[in-house]
Amino acid sequence: MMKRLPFFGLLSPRSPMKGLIEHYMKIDECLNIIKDALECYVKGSEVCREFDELSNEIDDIEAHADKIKRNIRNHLPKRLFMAVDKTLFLNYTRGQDNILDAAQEALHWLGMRRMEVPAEFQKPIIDFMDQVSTTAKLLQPALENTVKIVHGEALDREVCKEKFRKIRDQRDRVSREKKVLISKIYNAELDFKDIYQLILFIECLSEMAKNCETCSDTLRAMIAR
Amino acid sequence: MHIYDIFLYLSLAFGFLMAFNLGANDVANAMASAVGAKAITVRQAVLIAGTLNFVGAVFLGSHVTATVSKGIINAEHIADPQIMVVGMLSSLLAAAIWVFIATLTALPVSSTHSIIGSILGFGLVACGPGIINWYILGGVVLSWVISPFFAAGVSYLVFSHIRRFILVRKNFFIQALRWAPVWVALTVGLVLLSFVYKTPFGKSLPITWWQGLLFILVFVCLVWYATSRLISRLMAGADRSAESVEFIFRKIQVGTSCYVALSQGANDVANAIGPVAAIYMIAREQVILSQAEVPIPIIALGGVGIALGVMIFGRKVIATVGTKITSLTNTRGFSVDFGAATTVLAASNLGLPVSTTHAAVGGVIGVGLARGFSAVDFGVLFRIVIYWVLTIPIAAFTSIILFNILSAIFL
Repeated sequence: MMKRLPFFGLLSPRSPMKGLIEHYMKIDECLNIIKDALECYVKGSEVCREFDELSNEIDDIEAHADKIKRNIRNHLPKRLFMAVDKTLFLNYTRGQDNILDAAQEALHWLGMRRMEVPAEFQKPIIDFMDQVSTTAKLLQPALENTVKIVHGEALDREVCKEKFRKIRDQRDRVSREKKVLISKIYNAELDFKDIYQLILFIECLSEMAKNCETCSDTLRAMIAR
Repeated sequence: MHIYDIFLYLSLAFGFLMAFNLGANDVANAMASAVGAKAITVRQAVLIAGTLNFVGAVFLGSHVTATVSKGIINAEHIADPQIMVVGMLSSLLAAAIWVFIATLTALPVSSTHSIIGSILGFGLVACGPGIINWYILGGVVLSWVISPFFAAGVSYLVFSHIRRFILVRKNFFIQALRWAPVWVALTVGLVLLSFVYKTPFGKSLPITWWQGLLFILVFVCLVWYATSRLISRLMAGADRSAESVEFIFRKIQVGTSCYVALSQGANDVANAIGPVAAIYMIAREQVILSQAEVPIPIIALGGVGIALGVMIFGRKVIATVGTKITSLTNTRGFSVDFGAATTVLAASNLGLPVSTTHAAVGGVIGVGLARGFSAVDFGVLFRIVIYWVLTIPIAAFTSIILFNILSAIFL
């Protein structure tokens, strides 16, 4: 039996760009869990699920996301020619994966040892988490719009660029708040281990925002003329 | 009934069968991009392809017909006209069988390769390598290599232009209104150039070449003006969105589908009618003529065969291939069609029988290289090229077997 080979089989039936959105959705899941975990950690385990349980969940999501990433990267046929530069595409998958790695790392530092988060830092840390979460959530419409432009489903690059600008602005906000928060923690009368643990947790959250900006820059390069 | 009459009727039947397969396979492949991009429905594709292939075959096609029947084989090397007749019959049948198998299995093979491969097979077995006009065959084979590259180049340039001057511009909608009429005018201009300078009808017009050129220029300007007005009126109040730009090109793609069908009729009819014409000459004169006119009724028979092939079998192929292409937008589809049709029409004017399927594949690659598609799998291209190359020995071998069978019956 001869293989059916209509010549429009040249066009790959599924765009690899769609895989990026699937991978992003794992980041979205992670964000909600980190927020839950942080609140749980700050307020104690009576009001939410066990911290360890949440931590395991995030490991599972990260593992699943890693599988999606490997699937995207390893199943790109060797001779596949894409609408965007392959290096940019692979860089983006790495950037998006780094967001998840940073999230996992953040939770890792939070769960390193049990500590009491001083009342004065509870709200600022949760607010900081919200700012980081906002940065990551801004990446989704930017990614979706970029995919549409690359596929020719949308043409207005200005709308897309505005989405990148929002991510950049948000990341600047996160960066400024991180400096203030770290400075406050460092100058607080706390056990040095607590200071170290909190600062590293905040650094990891900030790293998430930074990776979001890197992803946004890569997306910007994808739609360059 | 004279033996030559039997040969003639058989050749008409086999030629018709070949034309039918052309309609079912090549034509369907060529129309698929327009259907895939939702520019036309399957029913419209069948109507356009059926009608315009016939028009292209009858009014633009006689050049190529002469090349296939007379160019590949040195007729004077065959002493017995009956050998030539049986050879052409075997070639027709062999090519028709292979293209039919290709239609059933959805292989993108070329009917042009098939017929030339089978003529080559018969020539080699009947009279040895000396009968083959290697110089002309070399040119034809070279055109097969060049045509996908040429189509890819044209499609690449067209889509790059659309991308640079429309798609990435801030005022992309205005740019689309500005450039779309230019593409329409250019398409009409190319068809007119070929019609006025290359067809028997155009040549019979009582005008000098510069008068013809002036007429074409004036007509093209009128088309540009009329299209500008029409598109502006049609798009008045439309959203300034990607969908509106695609809508403009969707309408234009109806025109380029016609362009594809017309140029395909001009070129591909030769694949079926070339050998029939050769047999007709022998049946009429009972000698092998070095030069002869191909009668219009025979070309018309090819046109009808192609049209019927599209209507009866091509409908299914168009629907299958067309619905499989989900990533084809109208700007991309237009670029593929324009590249393929321009290549086929240019080759037709040069008397070179190139494959529409190859040109269409070239068009897809060209747009892909201009980063028009989300992903083009060059691994598939490699497999397609293998089938292209295999077509020649398969058609030649089948033709040799059929020649031996028919020789045993008739000679």
